[in-house]
Amino acid sequence: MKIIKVGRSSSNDIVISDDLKVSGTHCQIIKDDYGNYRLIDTNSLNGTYVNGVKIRNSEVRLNPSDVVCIGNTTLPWQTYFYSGGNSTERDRSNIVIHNNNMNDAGNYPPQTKPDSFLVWAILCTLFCCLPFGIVSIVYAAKVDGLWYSKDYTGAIEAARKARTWFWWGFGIGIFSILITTIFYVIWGAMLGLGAFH
Amino acid sequence: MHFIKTKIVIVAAVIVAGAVLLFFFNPEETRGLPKCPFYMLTGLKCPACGTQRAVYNLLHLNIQKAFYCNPFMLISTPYAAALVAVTWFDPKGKSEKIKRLCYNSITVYTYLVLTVLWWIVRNIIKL
Repeated sequence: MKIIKVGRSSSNDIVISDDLKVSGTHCQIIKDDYGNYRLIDTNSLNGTYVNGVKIRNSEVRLNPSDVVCIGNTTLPWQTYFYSGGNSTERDRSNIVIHNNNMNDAGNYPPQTKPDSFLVWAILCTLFCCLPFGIVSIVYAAKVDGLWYSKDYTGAIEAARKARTWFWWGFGIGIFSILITTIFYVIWGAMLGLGAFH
Repeated sequence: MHFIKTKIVIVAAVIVAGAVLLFFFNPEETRGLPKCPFYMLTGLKCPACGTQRAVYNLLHLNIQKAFYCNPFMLISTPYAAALVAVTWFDPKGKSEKIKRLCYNSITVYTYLVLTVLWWIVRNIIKL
């Protein structure tokens, strides 16, 4: 019997390193003493897909031709068993799969949704008193919609603009609050000293 | 976990410092508290004008007066607090549904329209 553990954490036999949809310990593929394959999803967050059918927290039999997908990665599980053979030396070495195919066609999403800066945009509008924050909110609002309609570059661009507008709003806001406050204090002090009589 | 604690300490420190400052200094009488540049430049109030006075009155339990200083805080504060909570204090994504709701385009645009409407209305009826 041979067990192959698959997941994102480096303790696995097959490590899928940069796919955030893969859980730390995602699933196990077992070859029993009779040469039969089984797949067990070990309570992964997003499930394991066998020929497009989702398996979660359960066990299925695998045929050598079955396609196993985890997150955005298609798992080359067969090669591991075949090339590994029975040698104990291969049992300890782990395969690391870098999920590099996500950017080329634009079909695969980049790993995570970009930070839309919405929190900062709203805090800026509330505390910095300037319309820049509002422009930032407008761009931040677009990020989610674009992302879920699979326009990933658009979402990233909107997030970038939200960030830029936030920083301008923040900088100019803090600067003008300081200037006006100082001006107000000095003016008040001069009034108090009778400078305008 | 470590970062969460740091963030909680920073946010709590800012809130406590602001509250202590606004408890002891009445913004209507104290010079040196931050002034709204938009109001000083244009003579028009911005959507957040009156926040300091509102917090001062709230801390002195004049709820009604606090409400009149800036009624829009009733909408802004919970929304901003929810956003901060789901964005910075939920690394495991336990509040995914609330997060989706907060970041939903409809929610954000509604808040945006309310902000701009409030901005215009308060300057017309002098709130």
